[in-house]
Amino acid sequence: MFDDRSPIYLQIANGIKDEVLSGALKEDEQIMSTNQYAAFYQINPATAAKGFAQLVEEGVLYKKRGIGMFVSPDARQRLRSRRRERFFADVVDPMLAEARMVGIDVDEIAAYLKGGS
Amino acid sequence: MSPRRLVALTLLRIYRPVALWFWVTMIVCVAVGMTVVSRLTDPTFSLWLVIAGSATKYWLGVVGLLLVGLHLRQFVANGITRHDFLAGAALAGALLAVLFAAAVPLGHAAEQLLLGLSGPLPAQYPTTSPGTALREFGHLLPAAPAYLVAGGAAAAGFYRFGAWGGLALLPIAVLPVAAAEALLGVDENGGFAVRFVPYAVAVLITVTATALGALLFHREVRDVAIRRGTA
Amino acid sequence: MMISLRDVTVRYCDTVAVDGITLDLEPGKIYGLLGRNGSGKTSLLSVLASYRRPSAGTVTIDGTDPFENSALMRDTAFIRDSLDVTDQDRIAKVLDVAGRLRPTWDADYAEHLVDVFALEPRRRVSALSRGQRSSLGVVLGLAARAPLTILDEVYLGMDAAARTAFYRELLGDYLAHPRTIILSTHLIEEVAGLFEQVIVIDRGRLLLHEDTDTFKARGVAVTGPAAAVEAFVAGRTVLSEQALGGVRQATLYGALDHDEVVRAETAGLTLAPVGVQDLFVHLTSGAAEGTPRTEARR
Repeated sequence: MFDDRSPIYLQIANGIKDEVLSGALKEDEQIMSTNQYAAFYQINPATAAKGFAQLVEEGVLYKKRGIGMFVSPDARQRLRSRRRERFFADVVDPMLAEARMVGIDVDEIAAYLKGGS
Repeated sequence: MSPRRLVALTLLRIYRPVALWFWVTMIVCVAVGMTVVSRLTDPTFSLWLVIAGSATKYWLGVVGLLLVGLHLRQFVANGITRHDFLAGAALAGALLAVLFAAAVPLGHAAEQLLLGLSGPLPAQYPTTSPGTALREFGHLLPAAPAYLVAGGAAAAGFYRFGAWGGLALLPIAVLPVAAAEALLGVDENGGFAVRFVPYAVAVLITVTATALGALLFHREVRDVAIRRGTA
Repeated sequence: MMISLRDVTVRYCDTVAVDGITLDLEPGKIYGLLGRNGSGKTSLLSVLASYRRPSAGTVTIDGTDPFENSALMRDTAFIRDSLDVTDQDRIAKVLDVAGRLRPTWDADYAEHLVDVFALEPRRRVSALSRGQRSSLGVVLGLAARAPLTILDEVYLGMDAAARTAFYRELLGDYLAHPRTIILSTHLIEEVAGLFEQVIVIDRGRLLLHEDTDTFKARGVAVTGPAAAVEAFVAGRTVLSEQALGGVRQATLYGALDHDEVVRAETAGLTLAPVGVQDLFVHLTSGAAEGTPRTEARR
């Protein structure tokens, strides 16, 4: 379920972000409580709480006292634009580095892109 | 409920079936034994007094051993302090001592009753009466706690100090028993005898020795490390 | 139940099992106590549970010495692998005694756990297998609902299925009835997710005490050409090294920040996380194997 690559709380946070982006979690929708997360993933509730705190800081979630955690109304928008900003640095640049390493030039890539999707 | 009362009640509950078994066994043995003897000859002794008079004390001595060997660990593991455990054990022990000491003269009376059913009592049979019953009780009542405390103190010595330490402390631990046996023992006919000193003095010495034994017991246990049992 | 240990030392004749440990534990968390066999885990926990007095140092729970304190001992449940029960007793009797002595005991929950672990109440403790004894230990530890629950390697002898059930029950009951739980273990990998904080002790000394996430991130395995690896790990704490031909792998202690990660990857090095089990092994085997490298000591 969780790997060793990054702290579990970050993996939880990223999981929620993915759900927001994909639309599985709607804006202003309540997410599972820390206890529910803990029981579901068999982890310490403090870890889930840390993940939520991270998302609150990033503005993806907000807290309603006594009720729980909710997805921010503009969460999807925010996440999308952040990912868009980093798309070229995080996804395209590594691809280009790999292409360079194996000797594929940009024209080949462009042709593939045009032909494919 | 205070912890010590809780300990006392729990110990009594644990030993209820064991004690029952003890008395039933004794009654059966004595009943059978006395029947056999009286068929063969006229009994000049009370089998009950011979057996029960001693067995009672030894049984309590073993319980004293078990308090350290079994129950100390069991009770501390369930959140009871050593002090409360000893206090509760003392309460339970006192009750057991009184009950067991009373059972002996009662059994004697029952034995006499049953003997009398099959004919006249043998001439030399030690008969019971309120006076003798009280005497029997008066002998066992100081002796019973002496054995209990001696058992506990002896076991605690071994528990805390190992084999050699326990052995070294053994003479002190068994002092109560030595006093009880020397001064308030049972003679060859199963009768109760007071030796060397008058009864009151004998009781005083026995009680003092028991108190010393109890002090040793307490000192050994009050801050002892709870070792793992054999796993 | 704020727990404070100050310079706690436990000596047996001429062996020092616990050597001056100072530790503060906040209430209501699940702690993992990690240490090799003989590292002093059980001795430390025995002191905490008032099973023995420390040879030196102080233990306080909420500012009071718990040793022989009725209220604090009543609020503590210490289950060790030797199981402090009468072997001749039946399981039902063991649970009955616990129920009488412990005010917080939940008999229904105990019954549920007996079912979960497939124990037979009429069986005598002496007739139980190793795994079943451990299961009984878990029942005693969890059903007690003690505000301070200490489980010392209770899983020994349990098969994987039983352990999974144990972790599930432990977490479930912790969520429903929060309390301080200290679990000592060396099967770290499968249970690390349950711990909020880990405490690592080695040869009687405290190595570290921190959030599980921080601990997990402390190990990085750097693999690549020998020269590049050497250059990269210079000046860092290295837990171990392996060489295969021209390739070297070094296990580093200390998380790398983003820039360092980029530097490593640019130099052609591969970075991989180190599992907590491996990290633990590396941390605690330093001097034992006589490695000349810097040991990870605080």
